[in-house]
Amino acid sequence: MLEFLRWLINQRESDKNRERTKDTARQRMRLVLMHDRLDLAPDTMENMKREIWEVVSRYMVVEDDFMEFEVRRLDELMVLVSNIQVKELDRLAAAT
Amino acid sequence: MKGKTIVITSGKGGVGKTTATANIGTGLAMRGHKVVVIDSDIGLRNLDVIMGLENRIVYDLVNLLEGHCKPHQAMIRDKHDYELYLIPAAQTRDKNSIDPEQLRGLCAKLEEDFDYVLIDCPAGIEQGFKNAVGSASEAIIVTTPEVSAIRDADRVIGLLEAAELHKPKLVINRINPDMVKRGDMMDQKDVVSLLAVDVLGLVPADEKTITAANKGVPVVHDKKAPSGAAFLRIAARVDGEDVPLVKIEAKSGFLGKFKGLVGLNGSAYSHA
Repeated sequence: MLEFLRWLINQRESDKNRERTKDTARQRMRLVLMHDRLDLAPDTMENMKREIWEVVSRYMVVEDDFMEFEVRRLDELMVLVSNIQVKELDRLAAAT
Repeated sequence: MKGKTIVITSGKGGVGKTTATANIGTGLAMRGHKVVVIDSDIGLRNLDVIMGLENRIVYDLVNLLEGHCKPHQAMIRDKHDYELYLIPAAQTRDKNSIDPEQLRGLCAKLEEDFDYVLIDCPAGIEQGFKNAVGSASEAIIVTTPEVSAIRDADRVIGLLEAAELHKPKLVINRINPDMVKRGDMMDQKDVVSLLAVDVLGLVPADEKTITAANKGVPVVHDKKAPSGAAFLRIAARVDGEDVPLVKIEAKSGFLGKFKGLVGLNGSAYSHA
């Protein structure tokens, strides 16, 4: 009986640690749809992302690796949404 | 009478367009409307089989558009006592045998006599798709929670937008509640966040859809079938009724929980 309970608990544990494939699917689709909608190759996308980051970093101190990029449908419009984390606001004030 | 023409499309094949067309059309007719469903998948006729009308076909859509028969001759009345008619696709012709202008004209004419004209669109985004889409004023997109179907649905949404068919509505078909619960299938929220369109309905994976197709009686006739009830709700929403979306969840009674615990979970679906 104790063996059985232990086995049950193990089952549950391995279940919790299992990869949820839908998360992988969602992440992959987010990228694929963005490329499809923009009709841009992943490389070109990356270049654009880097250049936008460079422009913004000229005016404020921004986080290196925190940049979100997304193409979204907004009713009849297609919009490019980007989130960049600002580290310091001092320089932002100085620049303006 | 001024009805409307709705195209049912998906991009990817095999996600349940024809099943959705048959069931939404039947559902609208069950609600007392006069409905005609058009199979525009020339060369790959199927709507007739799903509706159990394959033995009654004399004339088809191409015959009608070419003027070889009168509209009433190409319209097959459903076996049930509803005002539901089918215009079947031609089986031995190809998609280029349809003139988009003529199809548009036919739909406009049918709108004078019918409340709803539903067009079952062929898979793909070529001529057949353009023909079907060009005749409609509204669109329903059918997808499944799988990556390939979602990607194609997104393409189609873009193309519909370009064709001035704004605000298409989404039907998510073949949702497997056990897989959703396990985190192995994208749920309604995931799909909507990717595609950014309004949801018209959620249909659970249901063996009854297949047995109904075997019999040639759309599953919407069977109100006890989870998918049948889901399609009836979709028909009500198409009809303008405000029916709340019902979440598709795996059954989790005591026995279900126990089975889930020991990994024996079968496919026990709650109502959709």
